[in-house]
Amino acid sequence: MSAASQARSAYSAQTDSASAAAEIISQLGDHRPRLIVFFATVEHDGAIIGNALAKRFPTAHIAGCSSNGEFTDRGYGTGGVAALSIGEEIVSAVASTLAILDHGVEVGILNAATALHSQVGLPIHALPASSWVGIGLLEGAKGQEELINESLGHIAPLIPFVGGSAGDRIRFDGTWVYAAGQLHHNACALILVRPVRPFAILKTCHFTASPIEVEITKADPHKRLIHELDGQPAVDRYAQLIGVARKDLSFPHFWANPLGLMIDGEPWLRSVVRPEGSSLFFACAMLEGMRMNLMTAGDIVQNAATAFDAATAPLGVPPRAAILFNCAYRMLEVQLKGLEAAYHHALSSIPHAGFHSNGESYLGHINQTLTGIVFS
Amino acid sequence: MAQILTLEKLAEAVREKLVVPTEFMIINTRIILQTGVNLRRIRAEQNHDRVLLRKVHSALHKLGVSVEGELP
Repeated sequence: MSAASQARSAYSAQTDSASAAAEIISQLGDHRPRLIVFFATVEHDGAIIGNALAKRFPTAHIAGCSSNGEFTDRGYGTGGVAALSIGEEIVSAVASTLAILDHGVEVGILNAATALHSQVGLPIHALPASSWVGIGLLEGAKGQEELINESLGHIAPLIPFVGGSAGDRIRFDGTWVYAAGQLHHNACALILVRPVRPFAILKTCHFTASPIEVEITKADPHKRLIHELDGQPAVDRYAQLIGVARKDLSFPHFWANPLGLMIDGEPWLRSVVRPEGSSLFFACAMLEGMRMNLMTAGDIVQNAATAFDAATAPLGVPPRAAILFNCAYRMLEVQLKGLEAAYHHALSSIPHAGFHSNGESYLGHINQTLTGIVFS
Repeated sequence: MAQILTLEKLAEAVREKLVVPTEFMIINTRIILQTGVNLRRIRAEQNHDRVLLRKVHSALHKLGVSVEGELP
């Protein structure tokens, strides 16, 4: 096996986009990529970075997005660029395109499906789901992720798309996405890869379900608002559940106490962002009638340390590289607890690149997870 | 053609269509996230809800899962 055709990460803390691109290219050296993904702080010009990578590696697919912070096994921070270059010993085929959402999410995703079809030679719903996996870098500031994931299901119901919502230092003002030589603010980069060896979808969190269950009794899912839980004003009931006086509710309570929709024993987390009157604004939509569990936090560093092995153990193969989407709430938690170095050390057993996202995607929009694809 | 009057009947028809467990898991997860109905564990108060039945049927259709049988 040649190191130049496996996976190689690169990290630059440079804030000038041309300089950062040059440093990333220098670190990638003689690597022969089929795909490069990059994640950069929102102030970076993603087109400068993407175009420089495309010029140096003209046969590779290049895709990237803005972030709330970026990381690799080589370094991490907020303000720089992280990249992972993936060679032919990891993926045997790649297709990529930019789904522009200006004329509606469904139209944009449908057009993207046509572009991917022309690259792989088959309608993407006809691709064998055991051999292909999708990666999505989603516009992350407009609350479109539920619809984007639904639309991905319509074009390829059985192909697992994993991804993250682009970030902008958690301001939700505007994000950017780059693919197919274009940068756009209201778009998704969609990538299809055919891994050479078995691969695993990673979706993990450090929360387990408590026995406390609540029902969503009044909601506006389009606005991600919960008006009532168990027939009571949502803020009052939530404060009661976590044992805090309503007047004392603050941000640390929200990231420590998400709600989880339990599916086959696995939590699909929904994070509270803030109260809005007597309602709660979440980072993810919920529907009336859904029953949610209050979640109990565990050890976030331990969760990261076991994530790759846990994901690939059922395959009986070791993990070799990963593309990761880490919720910004997880970033904030490790920063506030002084665990940032330990957290990234725990992830650094294999080459990887990732970013702190405005939510993650796997079959739907989710919060407060470490999600991604792990290649063996 | 038989009528599908309940979500249990619809789930049965989906299981006949999607015999590969991972395929059923993926479609069911999408349905849960989009409609709140878990085709593996349909709640009693959901089972005869015709609005929900149509919503799940429509979501399945958009996911390319067409089942035999007419809705009421």
